[in-house]
This record gives sequence, structure tokens and C-alpha cells, in this order.
Amino acid sequence: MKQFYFDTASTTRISETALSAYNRYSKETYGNPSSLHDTGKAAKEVLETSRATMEALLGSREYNLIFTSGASESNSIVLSSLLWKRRPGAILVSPLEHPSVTGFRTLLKEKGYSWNVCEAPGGLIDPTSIIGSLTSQTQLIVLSAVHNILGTIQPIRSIYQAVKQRYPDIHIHLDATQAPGKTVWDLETFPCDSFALSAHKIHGPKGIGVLAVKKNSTMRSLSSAGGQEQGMRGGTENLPAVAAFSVAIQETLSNQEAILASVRRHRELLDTHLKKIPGLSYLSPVSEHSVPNILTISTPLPSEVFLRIMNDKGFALSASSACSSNTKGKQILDASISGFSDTQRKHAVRISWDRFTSYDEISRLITAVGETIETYGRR
Amino acid sequence: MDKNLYVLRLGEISLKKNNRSVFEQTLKHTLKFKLRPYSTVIRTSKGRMFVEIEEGTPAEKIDEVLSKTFGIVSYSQAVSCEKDLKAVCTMAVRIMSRDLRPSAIRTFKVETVRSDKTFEHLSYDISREVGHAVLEAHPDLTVDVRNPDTVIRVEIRDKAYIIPYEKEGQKGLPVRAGGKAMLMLSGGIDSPVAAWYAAKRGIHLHAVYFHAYPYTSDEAKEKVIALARQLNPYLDGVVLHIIPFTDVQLRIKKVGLEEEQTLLMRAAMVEIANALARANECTALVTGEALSQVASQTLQSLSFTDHISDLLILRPLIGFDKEEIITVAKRIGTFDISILPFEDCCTIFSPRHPLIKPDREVVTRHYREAGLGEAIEEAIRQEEIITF
Repeated sequence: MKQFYFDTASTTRISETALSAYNRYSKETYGNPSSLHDTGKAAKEVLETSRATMEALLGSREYNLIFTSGASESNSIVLSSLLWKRRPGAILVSPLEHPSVTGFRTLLKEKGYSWNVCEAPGGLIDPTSIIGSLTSQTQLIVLSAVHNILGTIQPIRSIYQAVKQRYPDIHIHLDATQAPGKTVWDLETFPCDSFALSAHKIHGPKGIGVLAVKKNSTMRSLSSAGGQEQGMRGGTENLPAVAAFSVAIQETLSNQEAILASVRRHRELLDTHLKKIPGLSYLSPVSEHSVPNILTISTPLPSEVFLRIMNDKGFALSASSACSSNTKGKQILDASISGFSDTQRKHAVRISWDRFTSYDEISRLITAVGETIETYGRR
Repeated sequence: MDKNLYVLRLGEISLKKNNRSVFEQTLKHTLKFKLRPYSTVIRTSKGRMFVEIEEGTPAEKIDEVLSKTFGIVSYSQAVSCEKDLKAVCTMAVRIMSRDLRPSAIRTFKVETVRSDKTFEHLSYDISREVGHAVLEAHPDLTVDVRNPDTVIRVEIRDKAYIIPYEKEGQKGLPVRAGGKAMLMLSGGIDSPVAAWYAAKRGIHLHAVYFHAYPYTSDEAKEKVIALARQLNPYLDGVVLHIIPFTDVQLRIKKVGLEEEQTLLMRAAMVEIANALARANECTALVTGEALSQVASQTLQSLSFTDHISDLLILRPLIGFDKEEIITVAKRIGTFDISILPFEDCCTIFSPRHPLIKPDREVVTRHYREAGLGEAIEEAIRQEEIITF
């Protein structure tokens, strides 16, 4: 059964144009960009053209763009680069970070780093808590530009300015995966020393992403392997994916306003009707501090149950993986994000959509949510 | 050497008087059935069962069956030979050779039972001769009469039997010798253990599982099926009845008082289990309840569910601590399945403050007034049956 897909914050379907670019470059430009023959040179040219296109669109001329397998790998390169340092220092992250970031906690702590987590009440990072947590030992700050569950947009600009004023040498890395297509992307709003993106969140192919690092940075990856991607990420370049990624970036960033207007209209419709449903509450804040197309709600049902009923009704939503009574289970809203009750966390469900979502699909979703709570929810 | 002769010690069965043969026949049929397609010749003699199993039967299969069939105290592979002391010694030497005996065996002693009193040698002499022969042939073995790694048993009956070592059985009484009952099986840790204890006393079990989709996932149902499959070697042909319970539960939620929700739900389950039990000729229910483990297992709550049930409710775990239950669950292999994270998501139905000491007359009246009859009948009509 074809589902109504409301899990675009998790991944999106590839766009026709990105897919045809992928096809075309798979068939026509199959050379190895490192080869010296003409087939290889043609591939090299496509690679560099794609990179230049992306650089222009992202406004990242001051950065080197390194193609990776996705934002998870990009984050990994940044965190593992600390292992080159002679003396361990401190790392500061927000409680909103992805496992590709938090997964380094054990290793880096074992290597002598102190791992600090700032405050983010209601999913919004508090800039004063960042400044308060910094020390002369701090080497790296890792922050999400947009939280993948609540959709909160972080005040990166004020954080960046405040940090750099006191500690200009601290490297600030942004996990910007959820930003393009959900909020206006520009490096004025999201200043940083490096950032990570994934193509599949913006209708590009899976398995390709980018790490952008400021040109003056001394960051080194653990191994330069074959020397590709400026020695930061070895391995023969995934050329068709790179080309398709650049198409996806182009589609997303050159139509930002139109895309945002469309997803905002959907949000308006949702806000109008969902808020009338008794027992349903919003966990995502309603303000200019959050993106329009990620909405996490709490219902009278445990997340898993709600998800299952909606799945049977033909809707793909996102929720914590395990049952409410199972404390071992992972919840989508981590306990370290303050401002939510235990029940809200256990009953949290994320709805996310994109420019391909139709008005009709949103209407059907509203009806289905209402019916589900009416039939199965607590009195 | 006929490889596939097994000697079973029957323990409690052999203490029975007039109906001993009923138990023995039941066990015999069970073993024949479980060991199929391999053919068996089974005979009973003086508290023992001699099972000859067709050549070529995998040893693992035999072990699986004998170690998990109730009614067997211990079992051992035996070899037999003619009633001649020299032949017995030769056989003992052979079976204790390095490549046949379990490698952990370093010390031994010999015990002889001479049931055939006409045999020319005395028990003591037989033991001494056999021990001497084994020691001489295998210098790496030593005799230890106090705490040996193994006791080589020599039995002089119709023939001479040598039993080099014994393995532990499940004890208890053979399944089906003690009647039939309906087990209330959840996906938790307790009910599979209760099933094991009931079956241990010879009860043949049907089981009922209440599936509350979408509140509980289909993985939860698969988990219960997996539990039944894991238990089946012990239960020997369990029949699982899966009852769709959501509508009953929703009805209870709608009409029942919040603090009585769990009790009313338990009552509906007991009523359905009663109906299924009657339809399947079961004369009792079995549950995994342990006294005061949760609110629905207090003396008053249990007394209420008893009040609802026409049939006797057996609660084999009534005096067990959780740790004790877990120990058994681990031994019988149900623990790892029970702790899979697909448990009931019925928090929506569990009251914030459940009644701990319900008045059984009052709650029974509320239960009768809830008007669940139709929903219960419909649930029973939609039962799904899986026979193992």
C-alpha cells in the first residue's frame, strides 16, 4: 500500500531531476576522477563543476567542500580529528545532537577529553549556557542548526558571535542537516567553522553528503587514504551522487521562499485543526524559532501505539521505537532536553512534510489523527 | 554394543499403586510420539523404563526428548551383554575408553545391583572385578568411592546392563496423566514458568493469549507464539488460542470506573478463559500470578477473579519471588523471549491508582453491569488457534 509520507525529516524521496542527473552521470561519466585519461578527466570536470555549483549556492566560498557519505560521516570526521591533538581538552555539545556526534563521547572521554552538554530548554539552546560552559580548554563546539525532532532553529549567529568574541580559537561545527528546505539557508544566519549536510534530506540520493570546512582550518582527518577530497576523505568519489546532490541543492536553495511558503501553508492548516483535537498538545514551539515543516505533538496514546494505528491507516509518522512501559526503549525526545513531562516524551510523535506533500494529504492526516484519538485515546 | 538402549529412572511414578500403569502408559506413549519417526521398543520393570531406540537416531534428538519429558528422574544410555562376569568386565573397559567417555570423568566407582539372585557372583565381587578391569585398562582413571565423577552402575537383571553415567531429567509426572487445563499466557516472564510447573504435575495445557491490537503490536503476538514453541517440548502439544481483545478492552474503558479497569479486564479474561476451557474439556485455569506482585495480584484481587471463575484457578507461582521465577525462566529458555521489548502498551488502560483491595461483591456487580457479553462472544468467535 502506498503510504502518505509524513517522515521527511528522516529522509525524503529523490526528485526526478536529481534522479535523472544520477542516471546520466552513472552511465556517461563513469571514469575515475583521479585517472589521467580523458574519461577520467571528464569525471573530474563534473566533480569540480558540481562542487563549484554547490559552493555558489551555499555561499561557502571561504570553505572547502569535502564530499562524504552523509552528515553522519561529516560529523565523524570533525570529532575524530581531535585525536590528532597533542593534549586533550574539552568539547561542548547541545542535548539536541545526533548519535553520530554523541557516539564519540565514550572514545573522547577515554582519551582524556571532558564532554560538556549545554542547556536547551524546550529544544532551544540557551546562548548564555554555552558561554557559561566554555573554558580555556574548550576546543570544539558541536551544535545542530535545526533540531530534527522539535524543529527548533538555534540562535547560531548570537552564539557564534558571543563565543568568538571571547574565544576566537574554538572551532564551531554545525550539523546543518535539517536546515535547507526548512528554513532560509545562509551563512550569515548560520556562521560556523564547519558544517555538515546530507543530500537525502533534500530529495537528493542517499549515501552522499558534504563537510564544509573553513579554508584556514587546520583540521585533519584520521587518514587521508587515497588523498581524494583534499586528503580529508579517501576513496573514489561517488560522482553520480555528487552530481545529483548538487542538483538537489540547486532545486532547494534557488526556490527557498516558494518551498517555505508551501510548507508553511500546510502548517497553517494543521495548526487550525490539530489544536482543536482534545488531548493533543504541541511539543514543537509555535514561533519564528522553529521550522514550519517539523511538528512534534503529544497524544493521549503511547507513541508506538499511535504510530501503529496511523501506519495501518496509511500514514508514515515518526515516533520512539519502544513501548511506553519499556524504560529501556529509546524515545525520540531525549530526556536531557528539559521542558517536557515524562508522559509527553512517551507520547511524542513527529510529523514532517516537504514541498511534495499535497494539501489533500494534510487534510487526510488531520482527519486520521482526530479519528485515532477519538477511537483509541483516553476518555 | 547396542548403542541406543536407554534406562530411565521414573521416581514418583513408581510409588503409585493401582494406577501406576496409567502413568507408565502415558509416559510410554509420550516418548514414542516425541521420538517419531524413529521407532522405539519400551518396557517397564521395577521403577525403570527401558527404551530401545532405532539405530541411527541422532543422539541430540534423544537427549532433547529425554531431558525435557516430565516423569523422568534421570536417564542414562546403557549397554547390555550376557550375564557373564568376564563379558561385563570387557564391556565396562570398552565403554570407559578415552574416546567414548565424557572427558571430564577422571574418577569413578562401581555399584552393582543384582536383581537376579541366581547370578553366581555377589554384588560386591562384581563391583570389585569390574573396577579392577577398568583401572588396569585405563591408568588415567582412579577410584574414588566418596565423591566420584561418575558411578558405573552394573545391573544384573534379564541380562547384564552397564550404565556408565546418568543425566538429570525433569522429574514430575508425565503430561496428560493429570488432566487438562487452560493456561493464561501473556508475553511476560511469569506465565511460561507457571505453565512449566503445571505441566510438571502431569497437566496437558491449552493456552489463551489476549491480543489487543493496535495497543499491543503484532510482534507481541509473535513473541507469545515463540514462547509457546519454546515451551512445547515440555508441554508436549500445547494448543494456543489467540483472542482479539481490543473491543472488550475499549468497552471496559468506556463504561468502567478508572480504578477498576485492571480488575474488570482480568475478569473478562477469566470469563473468556472459562468459556474456552469448557469448549476444550479443560477442568481448571492456570495463571502466572504471584501473591502481591502487582495490584491485581493482592489477596483481595485474586479473590475477586476467583469469584468470576466457575473453574478452579491454579496459581503455581503463588509463593514465588520474582528472582525465583526468573531462575526457572532462564533454565527453561523462556526468559530471553519474555524480555524482548514488545510488551503490552496498555498503560492507557492501567489506572493511575488501581484498587488494591477491591470488595469482590461490589466489583463483581460492576462487572456484570458493564454489559460485556456481546463483546466477549464476538472475541471468542474470532479466536485463532495454533496447535504445536
